[in-house]
Amino acid sequence: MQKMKCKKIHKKLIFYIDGDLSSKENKKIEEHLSSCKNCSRLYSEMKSSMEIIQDEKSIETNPYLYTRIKQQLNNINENATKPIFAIQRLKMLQPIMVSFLIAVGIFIGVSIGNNFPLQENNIADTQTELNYINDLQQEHVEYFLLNNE
Amino acid sequence: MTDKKLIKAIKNNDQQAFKHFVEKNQQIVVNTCYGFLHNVADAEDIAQDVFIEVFLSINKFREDAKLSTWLYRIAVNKSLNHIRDNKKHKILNRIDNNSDADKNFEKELPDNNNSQPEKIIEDKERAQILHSSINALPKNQKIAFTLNKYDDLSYKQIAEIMNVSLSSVESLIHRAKKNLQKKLISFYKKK
Repeated sequence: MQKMKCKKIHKKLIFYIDGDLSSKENKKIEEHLSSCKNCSRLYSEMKSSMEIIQDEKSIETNPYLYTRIKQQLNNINENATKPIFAIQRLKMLQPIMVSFLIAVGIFIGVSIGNNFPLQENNIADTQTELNYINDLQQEHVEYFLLNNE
Repeated sequence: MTDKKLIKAIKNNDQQAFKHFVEKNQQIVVNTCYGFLHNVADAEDIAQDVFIEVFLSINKFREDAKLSTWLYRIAVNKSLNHIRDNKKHKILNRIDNNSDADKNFEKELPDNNNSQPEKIIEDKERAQILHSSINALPKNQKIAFTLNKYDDLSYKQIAEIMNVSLSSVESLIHRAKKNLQKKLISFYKKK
């Protein structure tokens, strides 16, 4: 029975320490703590643990925090204007430039490819013309010589 | 200076206004970060990042929330990101417990404790248990509990920062306390 009561108390200790319980519940817990050594020890341990948070809240802040912030902001501004960072930025643009050049290359290739059959036609036309002016077919040498005689 | 004037001045790159803003809020921001990180040096580093973020993104601040609410949100996010990004954090903490944590404790404890090394060790152990118990809480419970305990913020303020309802905050803090109590009791029972 006592053990059961202790378990119930253990579930409420943190709320008792934080003052979250009603006065009736507080009174019940106080009565139990005064008669139970084990629960009283656990209560002391818990209370000391929670008090650490209060101690930690009084951390002194660094008086040079603003100076450190200012320095870091200056570094950010300087870095943004440094030529080495400009080069780095250019390096970052490299993939875009490469993609652009590949696209231009493909476009030129396709354009040339589309013009290629036209060039074939031209060659055919030229050959036809050459055949057309084959004068050996038009005028036979023998015929020419006979006429002269 | 009102929040509106302060925001306007910082937007206009007024260094004096920004200095005033930092000095006015640095204790709050360091406290908030410490509540999550439990290390003074880390808390100061993150507080520095918080103010830089404020300065660089003040133009994006829509002014539909209070400046302090925005500041707390940045501090909470930066602290949680720092914990997430530094997976080594916990391991280093354990290794450094005898150096950095000792220094913090010696700095924080009153002078009359210096003559009681046992008390210092006991307090150090107690703090470690508390910190690891808080760190083990689910994310939202940890945020609500830390803002309530380390920054003394009301449930209403926490609800605004976390963008949740008042009853959600009540429930989160209640569950956080229950979980924390469970962990602390189980530890001290074994002692």
